[in-house]
Amino acid sequence: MQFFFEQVVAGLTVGAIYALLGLGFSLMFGVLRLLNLAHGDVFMVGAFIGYYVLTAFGGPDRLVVPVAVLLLLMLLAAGLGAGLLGLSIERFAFRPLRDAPRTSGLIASLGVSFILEYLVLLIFTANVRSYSASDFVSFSTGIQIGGLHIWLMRILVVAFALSLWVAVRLVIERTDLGNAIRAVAFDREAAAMMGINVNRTISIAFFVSSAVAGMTGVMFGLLFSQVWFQMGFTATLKGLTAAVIGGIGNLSGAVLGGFLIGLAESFTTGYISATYQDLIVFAILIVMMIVRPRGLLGRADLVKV
Amino acid sequence: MRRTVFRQLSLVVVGALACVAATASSAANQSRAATCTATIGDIVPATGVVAVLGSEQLHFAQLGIADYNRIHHTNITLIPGDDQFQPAQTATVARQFASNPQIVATVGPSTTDGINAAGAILSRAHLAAVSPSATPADQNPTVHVYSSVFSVIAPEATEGKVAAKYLANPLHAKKVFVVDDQASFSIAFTTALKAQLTAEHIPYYTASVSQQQTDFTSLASTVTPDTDYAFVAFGAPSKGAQFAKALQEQGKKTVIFGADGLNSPTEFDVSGSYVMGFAPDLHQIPADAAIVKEATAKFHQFTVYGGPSYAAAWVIASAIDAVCKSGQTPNRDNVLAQVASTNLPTSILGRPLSFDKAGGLANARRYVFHIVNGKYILVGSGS
Repeated sequence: MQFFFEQVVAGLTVGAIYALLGLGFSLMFGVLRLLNLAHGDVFMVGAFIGYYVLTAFGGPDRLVVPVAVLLLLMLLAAGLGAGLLGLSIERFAFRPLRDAPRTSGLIASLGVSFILEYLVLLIFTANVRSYSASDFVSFSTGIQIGGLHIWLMRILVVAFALSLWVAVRLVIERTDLGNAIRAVAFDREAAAMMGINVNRTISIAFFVSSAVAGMTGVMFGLLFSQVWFQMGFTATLKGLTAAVIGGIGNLSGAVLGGFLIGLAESFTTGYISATYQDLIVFAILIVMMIVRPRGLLGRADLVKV
Repeated sequence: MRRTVFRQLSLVVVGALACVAATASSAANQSRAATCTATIGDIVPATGVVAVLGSEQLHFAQLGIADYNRIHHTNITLIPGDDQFQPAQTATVARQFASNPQIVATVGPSTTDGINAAGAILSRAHLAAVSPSATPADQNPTVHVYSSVFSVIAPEATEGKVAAKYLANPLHAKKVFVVDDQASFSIAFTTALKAQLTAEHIPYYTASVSQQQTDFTSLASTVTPDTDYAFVAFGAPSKGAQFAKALQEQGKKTVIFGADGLNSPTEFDVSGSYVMGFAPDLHQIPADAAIVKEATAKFHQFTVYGGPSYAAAWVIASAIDAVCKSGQTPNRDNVLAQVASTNLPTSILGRPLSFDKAGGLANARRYVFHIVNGKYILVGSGS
């Protein structure tokens, strides 16, 4: 039974990362009907920002600030940096193509992805950076449930992921800004006629989703220690899969999809074989697209007739 | 008076003759330098997930050529070709080199998958390729899989065998977890390892993960408490470090025994672990002191990946030089013939260099390192 719960914990933590990535994909798709393939690379940039904040405050084994302050600073810096990066991407790569066919935006996002990847390679080299979070939050710190020990960092990551999801949902559902985002997502032209500043609304959506991606990058580094310039590729694949399984455009669906993928991965590795991990995840995606193309929580589009 | 004049005249004549001789000698050297000119390639993963190791390989190949040019007054130029650790890209770079008539040989490819992707292209083009870190996956001592591809290291199968023997003695392993990353070299290691573990009566169980894997938590949870060693045949050292962290988090005492892909003191420094190497540590070879000093000044620190690249570059440069000395102009065929008959009495690797029938390094060995406080200590070797 302990083995089973070990898989649950592993699945939920990696699922939290996928969930937040899926959330970003869904938010951007909602307002712009665009699959932003550079989203995983924004996540990577956030992870690097977090690493350099960690280094600036003494590095993992010689911290000069309390751990809580450090984590907060890492998350804030990564969120802000990645958010601003997202704003720039939207302004210079996607806005000029807004009225072009959708494939143009898709290709542009692929181009931005490579540009970000190789800029990071040129600036920071290909060396893998290590957060070594266990140096400042030891593996023994956490909670014990029977024979199962859960590392504090895992609890923090899942809690933070859920908090971000709730916060984003509250903003979308309970604020004027959220109303504007939903209006733009529903019908951009109508929203503009109602006096909503469409450019500003799309920019804010990009800022929010990119900031979430940046903070997710930090959480990834804290959990799995290593960050490198090509880490965005897998993140894009998994985040996009989470969003599609959950119902792209639906924020709660993306989160649900992320956790499902995480659990599918860990149970496949634990009970079947690590060899088939990706096979099973992407098989789920294909089955979902055949059986329920709009995803678990997605709603069918209304079509004017 | 006459005698004095005669003596002065004699001195002038001798001096003039000496000057002429010196000028002639210098001209001869310059002429040889001018005639012994060649261009070679280097197929290397300078970017990508193993860029740290690839960059080191490129730097050492460049250093090898620079040293050879300086010592032997040749004029050999090295052109890098980045294969990004992607076999498809290795094939592309090999095609580019093959279609460039100036290139007479190449250092690399550096990976087994790269050799498998580009070996036929290079062989068809008669382009001698000396790999510093890989052999064809199915290489055995009697078959030269790709006729123009050579290697200055022992085949992967040797590494698997040496590792299993070391696990049996002196480590006396009771149960081993064997995990590969689905790459050709990784599977070649583990196949040989498993065969030898069976011969040594050591029980083992296996797993295979994608090279894109980022979370090793679930994999670590499958390692049973009675497993004393995990043989990790990953190509990227950072992935090995991640797996080690996952084991640590779960409080598991299993010791990692890494294949040579983990051999990187900067990225894999888990104390107590063992790591294979396809080359000795240059720091521990007294004859390499000058090269180590030069390389340290240029690159600060380096792993076991640098030495074989220097050696591979040196093999090609020696072949080109031998062609020049025989009065021919270096071309692909005569350089390939010279590379095949390489017989260097000494090398940066602290041993003679010649190739066996399969194009592999004759009498090659693989090395075992123990990591103690982040330092790699050579503790064994075998063939």
